[in-house]
Amino acid sequence: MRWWLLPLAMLAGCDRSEFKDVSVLGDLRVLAMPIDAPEVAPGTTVNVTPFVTDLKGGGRALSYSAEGCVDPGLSVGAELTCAGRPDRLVIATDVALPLAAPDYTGSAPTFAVTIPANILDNQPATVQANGYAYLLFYTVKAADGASVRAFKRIFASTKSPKNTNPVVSAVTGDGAPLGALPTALTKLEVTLTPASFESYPQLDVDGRPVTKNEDPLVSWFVSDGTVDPIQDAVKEAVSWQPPTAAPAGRPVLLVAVVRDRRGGDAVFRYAFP
Amino acid sequence: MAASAETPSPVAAGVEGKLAVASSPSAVARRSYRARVVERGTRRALGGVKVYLLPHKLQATTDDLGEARFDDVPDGPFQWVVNLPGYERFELSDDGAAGDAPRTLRVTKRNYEVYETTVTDRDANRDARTRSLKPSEFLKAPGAYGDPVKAVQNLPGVGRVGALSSAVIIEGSAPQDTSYLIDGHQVPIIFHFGGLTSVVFPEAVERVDYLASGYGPEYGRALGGLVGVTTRAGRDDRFHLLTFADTFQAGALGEGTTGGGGTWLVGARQSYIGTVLKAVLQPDKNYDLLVAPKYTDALVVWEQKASAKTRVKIVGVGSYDEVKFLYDNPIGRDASGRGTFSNTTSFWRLIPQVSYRPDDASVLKLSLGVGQDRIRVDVYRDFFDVTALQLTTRGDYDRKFSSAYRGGLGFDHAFTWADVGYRLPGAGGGGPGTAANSSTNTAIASVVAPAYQLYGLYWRNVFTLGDWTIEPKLRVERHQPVDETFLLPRFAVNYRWDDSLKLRAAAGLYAQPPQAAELDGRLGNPDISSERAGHATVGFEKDFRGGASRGLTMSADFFYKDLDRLVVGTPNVRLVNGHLEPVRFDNSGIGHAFGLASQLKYEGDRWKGWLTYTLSKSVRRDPYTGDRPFRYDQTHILNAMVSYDLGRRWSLGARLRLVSGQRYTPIVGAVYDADDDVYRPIAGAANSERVPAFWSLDLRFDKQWVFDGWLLSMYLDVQNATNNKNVEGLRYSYDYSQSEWVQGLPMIPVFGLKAEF
Repeated sequence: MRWWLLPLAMLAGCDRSEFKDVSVLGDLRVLAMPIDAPEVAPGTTVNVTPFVTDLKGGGRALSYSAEGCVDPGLSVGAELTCAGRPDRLVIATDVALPLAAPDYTGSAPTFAVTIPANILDNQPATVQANGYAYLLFYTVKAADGASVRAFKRIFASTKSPKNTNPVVSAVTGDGAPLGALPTALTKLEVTLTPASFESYPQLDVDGRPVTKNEDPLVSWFVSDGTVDPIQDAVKEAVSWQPPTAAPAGRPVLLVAVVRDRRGGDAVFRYAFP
Repeated sequence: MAASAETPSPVAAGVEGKLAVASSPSAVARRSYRARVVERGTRRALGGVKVYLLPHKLQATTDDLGEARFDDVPDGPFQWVVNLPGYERFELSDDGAAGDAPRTLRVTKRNYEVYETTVTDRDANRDARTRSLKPSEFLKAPGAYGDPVKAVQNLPGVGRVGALSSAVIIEGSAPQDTSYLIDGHQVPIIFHFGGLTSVVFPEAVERVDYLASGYGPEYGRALGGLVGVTTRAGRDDRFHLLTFADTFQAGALGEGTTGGGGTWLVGARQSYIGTVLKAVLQPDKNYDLLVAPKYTDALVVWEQKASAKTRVKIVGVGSYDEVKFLYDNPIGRDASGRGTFSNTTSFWRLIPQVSYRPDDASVLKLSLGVGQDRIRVDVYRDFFDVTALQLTTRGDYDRKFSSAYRGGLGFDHAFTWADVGYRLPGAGGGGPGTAANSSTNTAIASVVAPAYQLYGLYWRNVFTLGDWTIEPKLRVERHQPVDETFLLPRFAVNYRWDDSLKLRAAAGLYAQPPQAAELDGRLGNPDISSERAGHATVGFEKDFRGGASRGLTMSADFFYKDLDRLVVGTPNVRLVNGHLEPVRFDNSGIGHAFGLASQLKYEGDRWKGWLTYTLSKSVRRDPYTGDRPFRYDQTHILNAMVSYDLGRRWSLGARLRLVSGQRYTPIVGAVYDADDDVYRPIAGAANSERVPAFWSLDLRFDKQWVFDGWLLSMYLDVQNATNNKNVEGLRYSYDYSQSEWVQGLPMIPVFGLKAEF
């Protein structure tokens, strides 16, 4: 390097951080909160099956709590809580959340939520058609005090047809079905069923109907190695640099969470033998 | 001019009074000699200079072309001598063999301030609170890279924004409360990418004005104050050229005369900092630098004396900045912040100006600004694109009616016609109950904004009554976008206590229209009003020099600003045509700022020094976040600058800055948004924390070589010479469970060469 470039190299180099990698599993985390029906009519009961990981927890005791309320206005700055809301509904409190050994990553117990029947009352026609969110807060606590809190919107609308979850038809590594742990850089790709790419009606701010198309995103998580990029469109492949050696006592995990960006989710989990 | 028979003044002649009237025996052969006296390096002809021939004790004075003539000089060897104040003594032995062929006597100036301009059209309207920096002050200001506007950071009351931003915060106000002007006409940006340098060629600047609390009625629509750059006209003696190149950029400036009383000046600069950055940036898994950041600017000035009373000046200025990154991974894992990020900012202005002096007591100035601003930001598939046509006018009539009264009237007007296009998440009318950041809540729009007009009219009065100067002033502003008219009285009073002490006070009301985005129907709230402020300031200026040119001066001003109707974000919603929409902004903010801005200046034979200290407090309040310190509240701002002439055209400068740490709002937790796969932070008390205090030592070395026909300068400007790891902010891990300081600029040496003739 030329000497006069040194200060600029210092400037560029000063931006490094040692933060934990968002795509690497380890801490207690909620990775997704899939609902069997992401968009429903008011008064409908839906089932929620959160996807939780606690890879480094080693099987410590976990419990969850859940509560819901009509969205007080998160998108315009309301606080991230149902506390103090008159329609606050406590769904579960400190219920045991067992995660299976040896990787402690998977679906948590399913619980049901009923969307208030009056959620769209007094709402303008555009809001009734486009949907209004019911907020579901989900908290997981470990016995040693660690905790994580997540929330999900469940949309109630008069729209028809309503949004459905995407469906993963295949996840491939270098174009082939996943099998044994690869030893070299691998291109990962998700394939969804054709019906997963939904077109849907929406009213714009002037009340005019417009048709929009879903553009699902995939978030990738691994227990070992690194993925790059960590999130991309479904049709784009990402690169996974697998670990040089398999970890002792547990498999290498790969998790892909597909989101249609309207509340619909699909979770794919694969454990390399 | 022929040899003079007068007895020279010993002081003017500088030859210790030994000269006498030229007288020689008639028996000796006689000859004639001619010489032209020019300044070495610049080749500037020096008129009115006394030239001596020794030992004959003859003297002649140069004419306007720098020429002197000696007749009836005794034959034989002699010596040319020029002893001019401010120049090194010149001596040249001459055996006379060249006969009457003209000699060129190149005298060397002790200190070359090539761009020390003479203000030909004095601006009588600047009030006691206006501070001006001349080229001699900003071209060698440590830490300012020779930049006129960056040098303003050294003035009292000026706060610090951040490592790569050189926006100017004035006495507890927000950065957007400072207005930037070129020749009196507003421009959108005054700094290139990252705040590295201002958009005007430094050597083409006549002066930089800084107007703080209590500024006069000539300007408005800025709650904090103004920074104004005045371009200079080209020099009229001959063709001049300056070229330079340093670590970041290169440029050239030419100037000369058009004949018939006209001058021209053309300058342009091009950066290559992006190319350098691209070469040294280490591969990063998160982003790639697609297009090196680059900037370009150009300036053209043409000035013509249309008559003995009328001067016409036309200024053309343009600027272009571009930077582009490719983010492979979403910024903060937010899907809307991934892919390509690019930012392009450009503007141009054509500013014709006419100055008419019907008599010695009055002057009329009219000017027009025509141009276009273009700002485009792309983030992945989203974008924001504004193209705005700008038309500004300004007029000022000033007349000195008597020794006791001077008055003036003026106007200004700004017309903006904008074409706005955007594709933005969250701009789709997303009210409560909608997704915060998903594809369902994205708006695509192309909006042709209505004409945006702002008017100002002012009346200035200056009464001089003995030692008192009383200045009642009035400004009226019309803000058409918000349909409001403001009556803004301003008042200043100055008292001359004695020859060395002046007292001053000023007060006034100010109004500022909301920013365009805040008024947009989909991005903001078209029903908000203009912000208002009241300023009051009282201070003094003490001169300890006792009439000498060397010594100490001191000034200090207390300031207070009361702010109301400030535009703040609101969580409120409202029903619009049956549709719930967020209000986004309202005028419920109030606040105040107060403090002391002081300055100590010393000027010696070799030493020059400034010490500026500002003590201030700035707070804000609104119904949503309550009382809070202002984001840019900086309790202590200390700047100490010193320069020393080492001799032999070496000089050394240093600047020490010490500033209270930037305020920030701590993140006390986060909740995972399972819809958007991003953690939403939970903010603690607004602006309740500070990063560690900032301090930096900047150094500057200058060396100049003077050749017969040109000058060569070398400079090394070292910012943060101790490589202190200043903290500019805080950043967090994806879930906000980890945090670390964001460090500012490391040591940055800028090495450059400049040649000029």
